[in-house]
Amino acid sequence: MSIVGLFEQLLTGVPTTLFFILTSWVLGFALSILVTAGRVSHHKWLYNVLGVYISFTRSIPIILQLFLVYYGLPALLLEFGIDLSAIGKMYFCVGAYVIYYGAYLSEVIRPAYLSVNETQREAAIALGYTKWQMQTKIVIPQTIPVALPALGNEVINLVHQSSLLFVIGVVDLMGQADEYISENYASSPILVYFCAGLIYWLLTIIISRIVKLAERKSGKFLYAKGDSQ
Amino acid sequence: MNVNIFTHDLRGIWLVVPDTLLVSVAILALGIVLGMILYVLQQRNNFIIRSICRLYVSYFRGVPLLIHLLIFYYGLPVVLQVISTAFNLHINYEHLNPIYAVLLSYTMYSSSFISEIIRGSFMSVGQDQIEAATALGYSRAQAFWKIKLPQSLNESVPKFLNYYVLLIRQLSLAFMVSFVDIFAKAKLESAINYRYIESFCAAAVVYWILCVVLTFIFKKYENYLRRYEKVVVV
Repeated sequence: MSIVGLFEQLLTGVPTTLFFILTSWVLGFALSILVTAGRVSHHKWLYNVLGVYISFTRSIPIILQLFLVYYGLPALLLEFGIDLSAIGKMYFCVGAYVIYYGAYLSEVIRPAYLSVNETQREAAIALGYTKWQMQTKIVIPQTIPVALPALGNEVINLVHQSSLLFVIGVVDLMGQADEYISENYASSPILVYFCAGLIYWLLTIIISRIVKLAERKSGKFLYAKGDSQ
Repeated sequence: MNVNIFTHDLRGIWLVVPDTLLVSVAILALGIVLGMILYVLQQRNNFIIRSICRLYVSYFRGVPLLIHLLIFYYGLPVVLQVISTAFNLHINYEHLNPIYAVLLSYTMYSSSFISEIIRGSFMSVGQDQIEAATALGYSRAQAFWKIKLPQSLNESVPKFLNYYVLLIRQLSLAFMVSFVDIFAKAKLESAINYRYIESFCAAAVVYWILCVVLTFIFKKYENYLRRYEKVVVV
């Protein structure tokens, strides 16, 4: 047992973690855009239905949602004669996290979308923009810088919450740490978890740097303050 | 889905709700104290103290809560053993209640977030307020207690309450160290009869009710706190 061997084993779990983060982030983001679109549309019932979904998902810890999807869904569908036992764990994990982040991110995007002043839209229409042009050229560029800091926080949240996956047996970074401890009886769990924590820490720092950079880049879309009044 | 098992699980889970709420209150209270200390230290002009604080905040925000929890769970007995043998205290470190590890790790984790809330709420009170107070002949202490603190409390208390609701949810990780909260109880209930759906749905319902009710009450309280704030008509 050596610290180098420990890190080598831990690092083999990093691609799984990163892959998981990327897929659930992209899919969760896509879902959240759909949810936001539904929430800002003029259909009252759609607003309410999505409101229930958001309230439910945001009230329940992610670990419970993971268990509901992983244990509950197959058992529920089995009663209707659908067998899900052949599907890999990763699909359930991504599914659970996409549902979770679809709700969380829409609560970030919706206020940012609504923060764009109504006068901006009116001006765009007055200038003869089509609806599509108005959204893509005026509204969305102004939404991004408002939403970015919170979105960045949610990415870091996702990195941290991906550490829960090992509970149902996914061998990601945390899963490798767990495996290492059970394989090497002499190893100290404190050291192993600390080293895994260091890798998570590094990932967090790198991601927050990237988010900072993106924030600076997107800041140019932002209207100078006080102009809109 | 069996309704009888569901209601049975629901009743079982409902019994641990007071404990969960109480432990969350304790973590929040301790977290505010530690966050306050952290904030005061960060305001110091000492470079070393400031860097240590920054490292502390970065570490606790950069590493998942689960890892903090496990490190404290395995580390606390080791630390207590050293202390116990060094000072002859006869602490029973082998059969330590997991709640100490939970309290310690959650408090330290929360304090790194709470110190930011405190900083933000103090910053929200403009310097002009303090200048006005000085001009009116308030002493520095009076300006702090009568002007700065009440206004920043209005800002921070809603955020603390939000954090409290978050803590209730985050406490679900404590099942890893065999601390029984709502989620852990649901897991135990399901282990008896292998009826996962019922117990997890019951836990979900309990969480949902708790969060909706608490958020509603806290929102009312926040509106009450903000009753003196100017309503901006756009």
